Amino acid sequence: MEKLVDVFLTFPSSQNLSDQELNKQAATLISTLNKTPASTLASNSNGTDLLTILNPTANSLVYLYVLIARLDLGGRNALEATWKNAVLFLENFDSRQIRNAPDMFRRLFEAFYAHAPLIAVRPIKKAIIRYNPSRFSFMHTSFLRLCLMTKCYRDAAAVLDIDLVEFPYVKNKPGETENMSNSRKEVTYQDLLCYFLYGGMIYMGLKEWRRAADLLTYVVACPGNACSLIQVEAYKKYILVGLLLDGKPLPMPKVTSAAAVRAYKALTKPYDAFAQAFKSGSTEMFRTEAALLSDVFRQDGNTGLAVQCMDVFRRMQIVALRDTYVTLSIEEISKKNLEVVGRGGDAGGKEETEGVVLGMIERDEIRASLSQSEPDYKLSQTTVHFHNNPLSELRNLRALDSQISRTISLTKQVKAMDRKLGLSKEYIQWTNRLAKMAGGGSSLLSMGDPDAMDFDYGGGWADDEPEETIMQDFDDEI
Amino acid sequence: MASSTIHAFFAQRRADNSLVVLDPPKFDLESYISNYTGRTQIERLLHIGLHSPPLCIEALKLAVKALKQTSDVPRYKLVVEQLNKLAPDDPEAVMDEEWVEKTSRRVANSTEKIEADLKSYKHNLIKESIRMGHEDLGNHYYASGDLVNAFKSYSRMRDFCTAPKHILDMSLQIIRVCIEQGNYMSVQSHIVKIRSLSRSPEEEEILKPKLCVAMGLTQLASGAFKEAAKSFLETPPTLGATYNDVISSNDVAVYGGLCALASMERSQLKKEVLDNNDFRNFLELEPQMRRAISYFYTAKYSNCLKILEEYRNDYYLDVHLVKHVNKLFEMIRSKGIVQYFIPFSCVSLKSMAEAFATNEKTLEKELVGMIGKGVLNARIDTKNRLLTAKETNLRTAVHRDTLAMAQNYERTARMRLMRMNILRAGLEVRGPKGGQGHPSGPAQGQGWVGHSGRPQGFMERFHMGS
Repeated sequence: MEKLVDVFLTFPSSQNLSDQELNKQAATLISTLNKTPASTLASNSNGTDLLTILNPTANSLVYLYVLIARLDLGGRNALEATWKNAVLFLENFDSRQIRNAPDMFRRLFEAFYAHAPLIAVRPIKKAIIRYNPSRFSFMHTSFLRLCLMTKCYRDAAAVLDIDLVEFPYVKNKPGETENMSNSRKEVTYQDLLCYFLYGGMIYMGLKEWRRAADLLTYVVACPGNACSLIQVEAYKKYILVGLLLDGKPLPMPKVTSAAAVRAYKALTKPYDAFAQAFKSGSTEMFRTEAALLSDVFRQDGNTGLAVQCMDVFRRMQIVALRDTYVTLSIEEISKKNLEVVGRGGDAGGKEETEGVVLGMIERDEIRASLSQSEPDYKLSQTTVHFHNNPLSELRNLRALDSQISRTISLTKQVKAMDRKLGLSKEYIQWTNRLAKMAGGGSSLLSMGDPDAMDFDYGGGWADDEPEETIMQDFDDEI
Repeated sequence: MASSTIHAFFAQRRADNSLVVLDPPKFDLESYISNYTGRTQIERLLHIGLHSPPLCIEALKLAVKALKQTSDVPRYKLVVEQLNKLAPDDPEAVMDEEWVEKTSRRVANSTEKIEADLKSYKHNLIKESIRMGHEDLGNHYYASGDLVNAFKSYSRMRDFCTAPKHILDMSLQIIRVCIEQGNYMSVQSHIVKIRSLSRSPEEEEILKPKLCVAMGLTQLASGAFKEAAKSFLETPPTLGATYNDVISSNDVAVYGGLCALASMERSQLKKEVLDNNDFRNFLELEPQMRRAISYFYTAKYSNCLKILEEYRNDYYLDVHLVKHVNKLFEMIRSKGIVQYFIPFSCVSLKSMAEAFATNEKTLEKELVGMIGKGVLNARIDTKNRLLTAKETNLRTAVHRDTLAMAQNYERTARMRLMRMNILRAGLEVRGPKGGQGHPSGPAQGQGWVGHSGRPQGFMERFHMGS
C-alpha cells in the first residue's frame, strides 16, 4: 500500500511538464490504477485517509480513482461521506490530467449531480469552467438541467456566457452503425439541442429575452436532414420570446433546414395565430386568441411565457402611443382597454393603468412624465407627457464601443474557424478539384500531392456535392 | 306611384352593402350621356340606373331606347327587367316580345351565316379572307353583346395578320372589348404590342390619344394613381370625340385631375397639370376640376375639398371611377393635411379642423390613423389640443441604426460559426434511419467548407462590421 502511495505521489513528476510528457506518464499511471483493486484504493493507508494525503490539484488523477473506488464500494452512503472531498476535487482538479480519464470523470460527475441537485450546482459550475468551458461536453447539458430544476439561473448564465467553439468529434467512422457508435459517443445531437433549449429557458427565467432568442435560434436553425421534436419545442418558445422582445414574431432564420421548416409550419399553427393577433395590435382579436389557446399553452408548458406576452402587449401598445401623442390622459389610455391578462379586479382601470405607466417610466421603457391637474388625488386628472429627447449620446457611443470590441473578438474566432476549415479534408479535396478543373497547373497544387492527402486522411465520404451549390450557399446566406 | 318601389329597391341594395347615391349629381343626364356612343353609353346608363334613385328611371328608359337600336338581346332583357322592378306601372317597362323574337332570330341567322363564310374562307386558305372573317364574327358578337366570344374571335385574327396595320386593328378591337370586360391585363399587353409596332407619324397622331387613355384606365383600375395621372396628362387634345365608345374628353380631365391631386406634390401640380398646355384643353371642359387643382396649389385646401365633395356624387356614378372615389378622396385629403402641416412646427387642432372643414374629433381620429400609417410625421398633444411636428435627431438615429446593424451582424456571425462547428463535429440532426452511411452530413459539411474557398471575401465581410 505504501509503495502504491509513493507511486501515486510521484505523478506527475513535475508541475510544468509538456502535454505530451504528461500524457505518457498518465497512461502508465492509469494502467497501474486499473490493476489496483478498488478495495485497496478505498482503504486507508497507515490509518490516515488517502484523500487527505493526496492533493486534489496535483494528484487529480489518483484522487479521482480513489473517489470512484469508494463510490463503487459504498454506494449512496459513501457519497455522503466523501461529499466534501468530491466538492474539493471538482473545484480544484487539474484538467490536463483528468482529460486522460474522461470515463471515470463522467462517472463521478453523474453520481455527484444525481445525489443532491441543489448543493451540486456550484461545484459543477466550477468544474465545467475548470475543465474546458468553450468545449461542449456531457456536463453542459446536465448542468443546465440541474440549474433549471433548482432555479439557479445566474449560475447557469455564467457558463452560458462563454462561447462554445469546440465540439466533441462524433462523426461515425465508415462501416459503423448508429447504434454501435452511440454508446461510444460523448454527446449526441439531442444533448446539444437540449443544451441550447435549456439555455434559452434559463435566459427566459432571467428575462433576458435577447439572449434567450439567440440560443433558441441555434436550436431552430440547427443543421440536419430531419427535424427533432426538441426543435419544435424550441420554435414555439422562439415565437413567444420574439413577441416579448420585439412585439412581433422573429423571422425564421434563413438557414433553417427544409425539414425543420416543414415541421414548424405543420406543428406550431396555434402559436402563429397568437403571434399574428399580437402583431395586429387589436386588443379584441388578441384577447379571443389568447382565450382560445390557453389549453394549448398549458399542454406545452408555455403558459408562463404566454401570460408574459399578454402583459407585454399592453406595455407595447403604450410605448406605441409615444409615436402618436405628446400628451394623453391616463383615462384615455385606460379607455383603450388594453388589458388582456384578465386578472380581474381593478386591472385595466384608471389607477392600475397609472401604476403600469409609472412602472414603465421607472424601468426606462418610455421616456415620459406624469402630471396631475389637481392637488387632491380624487379629483385630479393624470396626464402622461411623452418626451422625445432621445437617449443620451454618451450611452449610444459606449454601446458602440463595446460592440466594436465584441466584433473584434468575434473576428478572431472567425479567423480560427477559417484556419480550421482550411485544414479540413473537405476543403483540400475541393481545392484539388478546383485545381484540376483549372487545368491542374495552378499554384493550388503546391498545397500537396492530392493522392497523399487522401491517403493520410483515409475518410470515406461521398464526394457528390457539386461546387455550384457550395458557392450559392455562400452568397445566399450571410 | 313608382317612388315607393324605387325606395324599397334601393333600401334593399343598401342593406346588401352596395353603393347608393342618394342625392342627384351635378350633371345633366342627357348631355352627359350624349358624350358617349356605342356600348359604353348603355353601360353607363345602366350603372346610373343601379346606383342613383333620382335618375334611375330616366337612365334606364334612355338605355332601353338605345338598346332597341342594337342587337344586344340579353342586355335589353336585363335593362327592361330592372326598369320593371323600379317602375312596374310604367308603360315603357314592358318587354317588347316581338322585338326580342325578331332580333334573336336575326342574330342567330347572321351568326350562322358568318360562321359558314368563315368556314369556306378557311377551306380556301386565303389568309386575308380568314382574318376578315374572324373580324366580322368578332364585330357581330360584340354588337350582340357576347363579349367573351368577341374576344375569342378577335384573338384568333392574330395568326392571319400579314401587315402591322392588321395587328394594330386587332389590338384596338381587343382593347375596346377588354376595357368593357374589365380585363385590364390584356389591355396592357396589347398596348405594349401596339407601341412596339412601327408606324407612320399620321397613324401615331391618331393612335397616341387612344393608347394614352387606355393605359391610364388600366393604371387607374389597378390603383396606380400616379402612373394613371401621368398617362392622362400626356394625352394629346386631339382625342376629342374620337374615342367616345370608350371615354370622353371630360372624363380625361376628371380622371387625370383626381389622380394628379391624389398623387402629386404641389409644385408638380403646378408644373405638370396647370401649366400643361395639352391638358389645359381638357380642363377647360371641366372648370370645377381646374378650380380644385388651383385651390390645392394655392394651399386653400378647404375650398378644394369643398368642390370635390360637391362633385363626389358625379364620380360615384362613373363606371371607371366608382371603385376608387373613396380611396382617391382619402388620399387627397391626407395629402392636403400633410402639405398643410409642412410649414408649421405646431398647429392647434381647432384651426386645423377649420381649414379642413371638419370637427376636432374626426380630425383627431384621422390624424391618429395617418400617424399610425407613417404618412404624417407629427404627434398629437391631447391636453393642449395641438399637433406638433416630430423632432428628428439624425445623429442619434444614425448611432442607433449602426448599433442595431452591428448587433444583428454579430448575431448572424455567431450563429454561422455555431453551425459550422456543429457540422464539423457531426452533431447535426439526423432522421431515425441515419444508420446507413451519411445521407446528408458530409454533403452539408462540404457546403460549409465552401466558405473558406473564398477566404478573402469571407473575411472582408467580418471586417466591415468592426
